[in-house]
Amino acid sequence: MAQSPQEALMIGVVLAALAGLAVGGGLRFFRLKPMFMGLAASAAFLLAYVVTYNKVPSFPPVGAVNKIFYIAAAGAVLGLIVDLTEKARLGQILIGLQPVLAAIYIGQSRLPDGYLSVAIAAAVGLAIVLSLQAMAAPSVGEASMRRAIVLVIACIGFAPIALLGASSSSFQLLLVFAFGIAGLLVCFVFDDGFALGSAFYLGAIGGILSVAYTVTLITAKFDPLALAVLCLTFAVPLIARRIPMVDAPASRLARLTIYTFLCLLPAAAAVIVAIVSYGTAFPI
Amino acid sequence: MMKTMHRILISTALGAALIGGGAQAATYDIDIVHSHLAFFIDHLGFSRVIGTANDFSGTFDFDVAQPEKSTLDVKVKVASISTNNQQRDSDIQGADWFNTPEFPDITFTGKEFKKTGDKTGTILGDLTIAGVTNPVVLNVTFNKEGQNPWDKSHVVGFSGETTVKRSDFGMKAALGMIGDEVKLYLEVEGRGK
Repeated sequence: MAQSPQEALMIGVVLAALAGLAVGGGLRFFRLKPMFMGLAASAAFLLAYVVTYNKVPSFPPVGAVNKIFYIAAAGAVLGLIVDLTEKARLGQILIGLQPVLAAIYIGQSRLPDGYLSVAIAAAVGLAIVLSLQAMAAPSVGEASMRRAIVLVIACIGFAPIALLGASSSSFQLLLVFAFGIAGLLVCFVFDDGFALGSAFYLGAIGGILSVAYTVTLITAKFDPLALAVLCLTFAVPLIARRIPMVDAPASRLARLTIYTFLCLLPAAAAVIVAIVSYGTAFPI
Repeated sequence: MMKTMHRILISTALGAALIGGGAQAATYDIDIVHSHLAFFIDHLGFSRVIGTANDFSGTFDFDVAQPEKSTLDVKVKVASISTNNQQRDSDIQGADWFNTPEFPDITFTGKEFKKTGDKTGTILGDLTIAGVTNPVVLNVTFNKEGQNPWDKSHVVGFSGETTVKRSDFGMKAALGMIGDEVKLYLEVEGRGK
């Protein structure tokens, strides 16, 4: 169907967005609990993985790329259990532990010589998860939507950094996932009860963090300055609170649109930094 | 009696000459100076990119009279793979490709050695790339066995080739653009221990 890799990618992200819309519409129509949103997001990640790598990796997984799948899958299952049993405290502990354990699991071949890299990756991963959690209260409706927007924009910003860092598969996976989630989110813009659920954090975000760990710890060809700039995306919620214009519009859609553009600024800056510092033709 | 003794002496001398100068069962180290490993992989159908592995080692047992009793163990340093482009060489060390930090070596262990002609044979063995092991058949041509006139060492030489699919080893990045089939060629000299 596609005549070029660019076309194939375009078709992939459009299909992912349409699938996200369809699933999101279903979730909204049947008024399903937040845990189903978390499950849908985790499923979107796992599906994006299978489409990207053309496989469900064998178990036990061999190598970092295969571990990504099982970290996300295990996270989704644990998240579902947490949501079903409504054990919020357990959920908090798991959400705090996962970024650290995933960094060690993915980066174990770098230990003990590269323990500092693994420790930094784990610390950044933990900070990202905690910042997403602590972003705003209450954690339903628009506040949850803002968290999800940050994640989607961060994925879109990280994709080209991964590509320039020799991870074309991560590039594809991140974009397909981001557009799938974007499709899901569109259905909940005006839903006051919208919440992410533990499965979203442990499955979808756990998977994305694992991709980031693989790029940074295993392939290890990322541009650190670009990545540092991209991390500013997670500071946008804090900054947005101090910008009256963000919350000024009466319309939620307008507020979220301004917020999204604000998130896009550091992400776009990070991509520009990565492209400028790459400084050579892409050798495909 | 004298005639019989004469025959025995001649036979013994001939046998000794054959053993000393011709075929013998021995263990060999791969001579990296005179051994080469190259691979060819399609690029968009326009051409084939040629790569080489520049650091590898191994040992094998070989007896020309009993090639089926041979053994072979080879280890290739992934970090030594070159495609004549620094950027690409660095890229293929990443997690999408060879994943060098986790799997620094490619290994091949011969399991079954078969003679298919006067100077040809096959080696069925386990090829391990990026932590994934698959059976692979090497088509081998026995070139020559003898003494290196420079240092008098005992040398045996082979040429070999096979084709593998990189996707079988979990390397599925850019499959639409870069070929799945990888043609491997090897030229090996072994020095007797």
